Amino acid sequence: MCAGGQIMTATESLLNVSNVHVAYPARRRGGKSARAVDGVDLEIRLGEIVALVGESGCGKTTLARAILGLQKISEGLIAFDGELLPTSANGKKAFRRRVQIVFQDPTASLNPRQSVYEIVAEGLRIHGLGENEHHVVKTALEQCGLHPAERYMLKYPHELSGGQRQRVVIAGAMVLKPQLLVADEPVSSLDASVRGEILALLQRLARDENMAVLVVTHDLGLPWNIADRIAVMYLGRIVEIGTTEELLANPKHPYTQALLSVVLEHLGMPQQILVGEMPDPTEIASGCRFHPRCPLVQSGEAQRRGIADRCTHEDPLLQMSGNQQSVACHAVGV
Amino acid sequence: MNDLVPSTSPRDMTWARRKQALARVWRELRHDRAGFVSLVVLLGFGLVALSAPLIADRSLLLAAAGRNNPDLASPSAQFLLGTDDIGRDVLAQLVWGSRVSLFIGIFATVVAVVIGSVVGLVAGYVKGKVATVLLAIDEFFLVVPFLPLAIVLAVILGRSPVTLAIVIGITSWAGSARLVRAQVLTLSERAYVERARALGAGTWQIIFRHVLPGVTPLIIANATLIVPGAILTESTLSFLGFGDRLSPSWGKLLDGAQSSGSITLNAWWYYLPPGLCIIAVVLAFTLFGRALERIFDPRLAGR
Amino acid sequence: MSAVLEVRDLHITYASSSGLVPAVRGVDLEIAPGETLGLAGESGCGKSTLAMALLRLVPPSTQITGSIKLAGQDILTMKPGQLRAARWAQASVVFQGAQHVLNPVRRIGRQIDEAIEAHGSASVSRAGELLDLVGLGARRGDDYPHELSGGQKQRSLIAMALACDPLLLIADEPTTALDVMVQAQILQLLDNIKRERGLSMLFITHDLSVLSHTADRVAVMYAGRIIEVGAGDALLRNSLHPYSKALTASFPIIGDPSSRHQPRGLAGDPPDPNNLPSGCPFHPRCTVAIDECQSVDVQLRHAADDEERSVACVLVGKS
Repeated sequence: MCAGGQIMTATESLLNVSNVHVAYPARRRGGKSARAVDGVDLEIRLGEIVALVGESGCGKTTLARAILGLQKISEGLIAFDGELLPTSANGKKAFRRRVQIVFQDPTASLNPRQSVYEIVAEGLRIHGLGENEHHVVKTALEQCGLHPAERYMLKYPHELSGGQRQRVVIAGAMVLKPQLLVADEPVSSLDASVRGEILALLQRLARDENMAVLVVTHDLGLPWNIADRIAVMYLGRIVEIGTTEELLANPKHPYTQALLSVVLEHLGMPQQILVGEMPDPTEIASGCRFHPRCPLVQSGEAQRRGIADRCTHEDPLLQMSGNQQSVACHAVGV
Repeated sequence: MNDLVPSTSPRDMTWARRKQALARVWRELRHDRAGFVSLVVLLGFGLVALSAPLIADRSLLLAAAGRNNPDLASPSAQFLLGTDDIGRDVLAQLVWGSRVSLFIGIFATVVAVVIGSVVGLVAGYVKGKVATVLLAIDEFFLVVPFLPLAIVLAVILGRSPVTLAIVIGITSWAGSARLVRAQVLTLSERAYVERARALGAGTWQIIFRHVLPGVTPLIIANATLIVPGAILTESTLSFLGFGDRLSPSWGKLLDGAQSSGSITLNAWWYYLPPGLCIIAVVLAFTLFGRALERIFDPRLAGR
Repeated sequence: MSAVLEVRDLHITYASSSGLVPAVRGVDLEIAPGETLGLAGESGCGKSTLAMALLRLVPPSTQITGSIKLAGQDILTMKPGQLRAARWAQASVVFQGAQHVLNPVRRIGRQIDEAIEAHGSASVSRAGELLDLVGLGARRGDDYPHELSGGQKQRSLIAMALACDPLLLIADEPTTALDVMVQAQILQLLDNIKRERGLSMLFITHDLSVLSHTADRVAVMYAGRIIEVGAGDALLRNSLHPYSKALTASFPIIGDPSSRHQPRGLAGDPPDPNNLPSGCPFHPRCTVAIDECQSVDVQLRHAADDEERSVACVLVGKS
């Protein structure tokens, strides 16, 4: 487990993910199963914004769905507010009120046949909270920047812009007053000028409602904008985690360093473009899962430091390195 | 609701929007010539079927009614469409026949669509073993030659119009089950279904709120395309002598025309009208169904 | 040196169900040999329409006026035969969404050769050579599109676009659907090819951050017009038009304390091309608009302190 709560104030733990695995069965007989999430530990505290950063296929969306209880886990534990995720139908339904999701594509996540009002009220109706429905819907819409709410309530999704649709999705989640909002690439399908507006909204909601947010993203600029902490994921595992400031100022895992170098290139940092693409989760390398693409291994640097053997044979664990930063790399601390 | 609700509540407005949507369908139908003409034809047949007792007395259908009339008389002022081989008025049989043919066609379609939609919804949404079994049954009904099956069922279950309709319905739901299942599969992949699930909606809430509204237009369009098939099947069964002996359907009329040798006797007024009626109704339903499909199909509709 | 591409006073109006839509409203631009021009803007600003019109890849009902000169020849007055020859051989397009452009049932190598054969330029298969060039390796020519990853498909599209040695490569959001690392790989590849072959490039994107190391010059479009153009780095570091400023600010500089916990965007929505605001089309969203902006529609003009820079804003270049 990363980082104790000594430094941050009021750091009560909200979500605890420990040693979670999600494996999809092999497609063909005799094939290997895909280890989409392969042993993840993650803690989210009340009211904090955590960014889960990684490329497509790294398992970040699968992990997010597992946290929401939308994806069965094959191993490990997920605890929310001190209790394991419920399995009974009633327990699940009650849990759903406390954790909500915002998807990448707002157009696809709105039913084209429902009006904005019906969409936002849906959560209330499902949970039988119909009392004062009109008022709650209006408040949620205005809280999400759709002012005045009456102008939007009766519109249909196709009459709204992309940014407005995402606001409607967020309002639909906010009516249930969740304690955790999982946002899966909430801005990557939106135009640049809208991006900042939606991120500002998420940040404001998190502060005003003391709501924790887990933002899943491939973009390291996004956590700099809004996240308190960053977890970098590679091939089913978190390889580095820490506070935004610490991690982005001093990335320790070679994968994080490469990711950052690519976006920071214009600041004169030499670009470190990795060769090849992320392997299939059916083909996870032995030893460190990153070693086949690791610049340290490829340049012979690992050999020089005498860790090459460990890189290819020993699976590195997340270890504290720095104040609140943990890294899973044999080269760190050697 | 409380006093915060403005005079036009969202519910009223939603209804207004639905009315608008219906108006859109109507407008598009008006501009679709084939669809509109076929609708008029269908309404005409419906009107005739409903007002059959006003046009011709039911007693005219009895064998005894033709005792005093000439056999196979050609059309005249007294018998607008002539008489059949035992002297009964062909027009009276045709009018009453439209009742039976349309009733069986529509009732059989309702049976087929209900079975097909339920099977399609369940097979598409539930997945797993239940779906595998349902799909196997569906495949059986798709590949088995349906006329022999319908004949066997008709013999076992009896031959009243209701049982005939059920028999035809049972043999013709397989295609719509496939169609509904395919649409359900694509709909349940949509992010908004996932969103509803994350909100805590149960399976039935998702089906009724998100999946069913999405497949309804498809089901309606598909239903209008099943009706002509059902009418043809009824005619075929009657023509082959497996129909209800007591009710005068168009198929039975054709059967009578054929067995009495009206074709060799050149008594066209006996075999031509029921044949033309079958063709007209089948064509009208097909064209109307295609028009609805064009209007409802989200890929063709300009949003 | 004469420009590879020279566009003058281009207007493009296309027909839609809601009437005629003026997508591009008077655009001038030129690209010198070996130069990369980045064209940035949000969805609906007309940048893709502009790119497609450069090779007349637009529906026949579209009205195009002005002139588009590709290597000195006017595309708009060409006969169909000449136009076909100009496509691929003088300018070719790399589209976004590689999966929709490749034929799923044909081997990659075969598809590349077909493009060459259609122009009768070579009898020997060059597919292998081209695939080597884009870093895929000649052997991948035997693969079908579904056997390639997104990045590999994009590479094979680039190989295809290079098949007839064009002078100009039009890249329409070539990296949009790709991951950061793969995106960096593709950008590096395009950069290398451009250098080696002296190719000119028009790089269209909504993401200003990818232009920082690909573009020599950058043009920013809004509501069918270019509102700022200038040398790439200078423009991205110090944009002068309020809209370009908002766009550059929406991509935070990591490590810059002013953007920490300060996501910045732009309120409002892009204007409806059928119903443009009076005066400067940006004024309803502009945070520094003055009364004049509602009535005066400023054309691109040189900015006082930067020779290469032109800006269409009342507040810039006014002495």
